[in-house]
Amino acid sequence: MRANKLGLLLGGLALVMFLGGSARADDSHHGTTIVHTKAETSTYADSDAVAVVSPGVEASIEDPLSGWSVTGTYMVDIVSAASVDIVSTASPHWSEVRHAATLSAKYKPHLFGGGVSAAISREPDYLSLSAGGNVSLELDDKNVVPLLGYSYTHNTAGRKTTPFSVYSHVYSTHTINGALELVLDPSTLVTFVSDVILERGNQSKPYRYVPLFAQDVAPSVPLGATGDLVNQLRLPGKIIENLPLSRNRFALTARLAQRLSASTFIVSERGYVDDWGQKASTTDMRFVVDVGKRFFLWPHLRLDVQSAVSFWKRAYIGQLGPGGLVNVPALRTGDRELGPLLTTTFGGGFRWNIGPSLRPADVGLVFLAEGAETNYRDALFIKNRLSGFSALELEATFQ
Amino acid sequence: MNSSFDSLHRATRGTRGVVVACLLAVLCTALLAGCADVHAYQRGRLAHASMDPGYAASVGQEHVEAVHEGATGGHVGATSGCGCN
Repeated sequence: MRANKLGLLLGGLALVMFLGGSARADDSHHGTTIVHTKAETSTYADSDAVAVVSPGVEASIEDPLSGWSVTGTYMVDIVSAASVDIVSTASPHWSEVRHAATLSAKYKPHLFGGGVSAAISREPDYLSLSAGGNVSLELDDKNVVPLLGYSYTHNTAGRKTTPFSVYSHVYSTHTINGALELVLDPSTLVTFVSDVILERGNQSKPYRYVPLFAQDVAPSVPLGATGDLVNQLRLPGKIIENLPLSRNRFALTARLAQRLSASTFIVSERGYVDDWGQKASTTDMRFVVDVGKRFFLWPHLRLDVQSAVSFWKRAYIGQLGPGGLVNVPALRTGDRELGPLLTTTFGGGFRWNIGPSLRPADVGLVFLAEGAETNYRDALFIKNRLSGFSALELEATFQ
Repeated sequence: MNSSFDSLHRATRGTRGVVVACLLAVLCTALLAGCADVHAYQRGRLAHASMDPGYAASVGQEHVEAVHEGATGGHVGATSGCGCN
């Protein structure tokens, strides 16, 4: 009920932003200011009993001649979950609301430019604050554009009904980006992005309990063992997740975009390694086809494959003493995204420009729909997860 | 299921070197080709909306990918995290 009220509230907010954008556009009709507004509602559901509805709005104002722009976004995740991790610990189904907002500004009067951005994400048991900036320089008649960026994120994780002052974990993230955009020819653009992400602090989840097994039992715990079987085989007692207190992550992404006569091909490849021993490769492809002057259609394929972190175990070994669990593994996790997995995503979308005949792209309707299958190669509880995602966006530009 | 995954995983690992080599080749080619002048009047295709990274993507979609995948990176700018995993 509360989630429904929030949805209505956000719908109203989206309407107000659109009307507000329209009013501002009238004021700036004779200037160079352009106002963009966007309202988006996305839905997600998977076979692990997780469902999310995410309404969001975005508004930006820019002056292309002066080179400045300001953008703000606001999004809400309304989450309902009864996943196997929750059920297996005899915990009740829960629902939660996350609020996320960003504000960014850019200024690029000539060859040199820069931008700043800030973001906040708030849940009952989690607060994330982020701020950053970047600078870029156009070289070789805009054919080479390097960019350097930095952002800092402060995360506080706690428990839903306990104030942060009583119980919380804090960890921070320093992200350094280097990007290079290159014009290969009049229709081809290549972008390289390198990321160095340094995470410091305790990022173990306060709710995530890891089952431990006797040494002679652990090897026989099967892949995807059900909650009932895990509870039958595991040692008594509960032990919480414990992750290393620092993580250094590195990613290199190459993106190629090529505009053909009536289509655009976009492919990107991201290679990733970190000092927890995880490696990953993510390939993403889209092929946008012009179906007439107002309608654009694209298929989307994404393949993500990753290895496990070095301390990953499907069945961690513990030892039971007279007073309970003793001799437990120092590092332990039940986060399946830290284990080996393969996710294949396939879907597509369309954009329908419904603006006036002189500027049809000023109003656009975008729809995305995708399905994904994640295969967990070495996890408890489930072997795979099927998920579906859809998003509906309405965009409007006023100038 | 498991054996097919293993096969795919092995195949992926086997091609990792090839992928890295291709990326380096693309990088070198791009660096050389980037010196070639493409003038403002030749940029009509480059300026097409579909060339923008955010054109066929959504914020919600990127969030789902971030939650599903252990890896991160590829975006520039401040984004807040979440306790989603």
